[in-house]
Amino acid sequence: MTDAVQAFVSAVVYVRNDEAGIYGFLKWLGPALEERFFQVEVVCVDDASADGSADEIRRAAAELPGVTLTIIHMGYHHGREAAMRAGDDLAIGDYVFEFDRAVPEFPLSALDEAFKTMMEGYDIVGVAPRGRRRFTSKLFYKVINHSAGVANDLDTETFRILSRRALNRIQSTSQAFPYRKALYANSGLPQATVSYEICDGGGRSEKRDAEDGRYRLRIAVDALVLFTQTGYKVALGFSFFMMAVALFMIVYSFVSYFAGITVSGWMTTVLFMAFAFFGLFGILAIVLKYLQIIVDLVFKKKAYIFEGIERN
Amino acid sequence: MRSFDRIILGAGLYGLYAAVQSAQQGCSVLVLECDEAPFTRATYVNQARVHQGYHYPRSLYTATRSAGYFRRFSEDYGFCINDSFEQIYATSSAMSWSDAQQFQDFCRAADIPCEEVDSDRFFKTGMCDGAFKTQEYTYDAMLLKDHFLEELKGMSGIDVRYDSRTRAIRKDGDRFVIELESREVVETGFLINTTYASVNQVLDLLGLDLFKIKYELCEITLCEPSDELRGYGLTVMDGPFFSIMPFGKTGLHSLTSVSFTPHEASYAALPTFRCQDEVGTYCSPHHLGNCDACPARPTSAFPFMANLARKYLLDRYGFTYKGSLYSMKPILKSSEIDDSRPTVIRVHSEDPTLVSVLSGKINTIYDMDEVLGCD
Repeated sequence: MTDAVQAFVSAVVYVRNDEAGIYGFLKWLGPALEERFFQVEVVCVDDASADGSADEIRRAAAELPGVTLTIIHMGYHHGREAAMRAGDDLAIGDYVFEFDRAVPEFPLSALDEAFKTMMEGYDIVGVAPRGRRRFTSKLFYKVINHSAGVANDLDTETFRILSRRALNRIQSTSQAFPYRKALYANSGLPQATVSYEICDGGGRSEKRDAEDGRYRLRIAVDALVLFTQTGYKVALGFSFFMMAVALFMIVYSFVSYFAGITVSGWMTTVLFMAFAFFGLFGILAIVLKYLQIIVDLVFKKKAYIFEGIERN
Repeated sequence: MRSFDRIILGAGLYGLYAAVQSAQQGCSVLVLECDEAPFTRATYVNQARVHQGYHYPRSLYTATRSAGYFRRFSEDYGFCINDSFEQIYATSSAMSWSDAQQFQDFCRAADIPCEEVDSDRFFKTGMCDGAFKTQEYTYDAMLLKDHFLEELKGMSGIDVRYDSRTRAIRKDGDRFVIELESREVVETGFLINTTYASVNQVLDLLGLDLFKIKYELCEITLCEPSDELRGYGLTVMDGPFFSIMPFGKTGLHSLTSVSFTPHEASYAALPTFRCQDEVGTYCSPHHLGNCDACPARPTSAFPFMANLARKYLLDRYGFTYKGSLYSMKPILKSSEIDDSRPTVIRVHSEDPTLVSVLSGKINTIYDMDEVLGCD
């Protein structure tokens, strides 16, 4: 691309204890965006880093006069999802790049490729590496794509671009952001994925520590619970199964009584327990249904989502 | 050496108000202004808001203080007031320090009108959690200037000198002796420092304690509003947001934003900026030039302010860029937490008297009455 595109873009970058890499990433990304777009804003979300990340961001900002750089300091460690949401809220660009990881592991041509794809009429464009997936990532995406009923399949993404329209849609859809990608996938807007061959990232790869691992696991479980019916179906199915077992015990105890094969008191004990369990699991099924409705109310504010209205 | 009852530094609104009040009491007054005309800096280059307190939802003190003077100012200077528009305040859904309920509670506490309106009338869905019709006006600094110039003409005992820079000030017994760049020397027993952003520079000449100030080089952009926008002023609170509202009676709207209006900040005791290196003697930490007339004015941040506003506003409230105004804004460091903008009137000494005034709001000029002895 030779001429800067007449567009205002924001890049939201997640930063968590990354003093070793953030300066290099910003110095790499900033000029690349600047030469491609008319107006550029970078929003770094410092998720309560305990190291010198903020100073490194400031150092990069001082050396990038053409880029407007803002830092949001999170009050305490929020995790990637909530922190990126804050960055998205502050960003003012017509197009917002989300960098969940500040790692220069993709070729800069992926920026052009992704933006070009967006101009073809997509509101959300994800950029993912070809091949190479962790087994756990593969499993997670397989389950969520299979059972969440999302309109667009989810995959591991390095970064993505969102249009202002997509951000507005998401803002008015759901206030609590348990997992952005599932919301994006279900936003009802056209989306695409662009892939690239992995480059070595200047010898750096993403740092994953135990804290990050625990966070990812929690988000994965939350996402599965909230966006798939799996947990609800399993629990409800088990409740119905146990109700059936209790019912069987009631019938069995009557049969045994009339067949005269019981000892004294067995009939009343078993009958009581079977009734109690039948009632208990019945109540559990109702409670589960209520919980499901509450989850729907909290996380799906809009009753329906449309892509557009066409008048002929 | 000519002697005056009072010498006033700075021909902004506060300076000329003090001059007129002093002359009415029979004082001989000299006003020294380093620019070629009055009202060329902060009095003109600001949002032109006649505050009634809405802007300070976290400082009830500032709010009630503004509200108290709102009516008085609007009556005294009605000719320069534009009240023919609806002023809407809204609270942003995200990133705001105050929400709709808190804003309403605050208005009730400050006893200022606040009527909830549908935020979807003005803002994109979900962007604001509340919108309120308020009562707030804008003043036209140029009309106000004409009024003061007219008033000064008819008064005896006031001498206003433009293009006159102060070279040195020293205390001599119960007098202040002021030496001008023109080599002229004048003296007074009552010196009033209404130089706003230069307040510390004057105090520094006398070796006095300085105000603890953060300096911000600010840009106000002026826009032609769309027909739909013309009758409205829209302000999104309380954080990194924006305001677009009529700029006096000029027919233009001013557009400002908390994040992009300040271009650069200085935390030094005297205003120290990189751009000063480019302009020689025009501007330095010891003498501020006029940012609006400066050859080293920063590039406009209009694209940023405009995008921020468009992120919130419905498309029909459009606007086009007309130009930018720049000025230096001193902010008391103590007021950053509650966002208050107190009017500080500090009496440094008596016999000779030295008074400094620091205020970011025009309608608190009446706070000076006490020190001017016209209560």
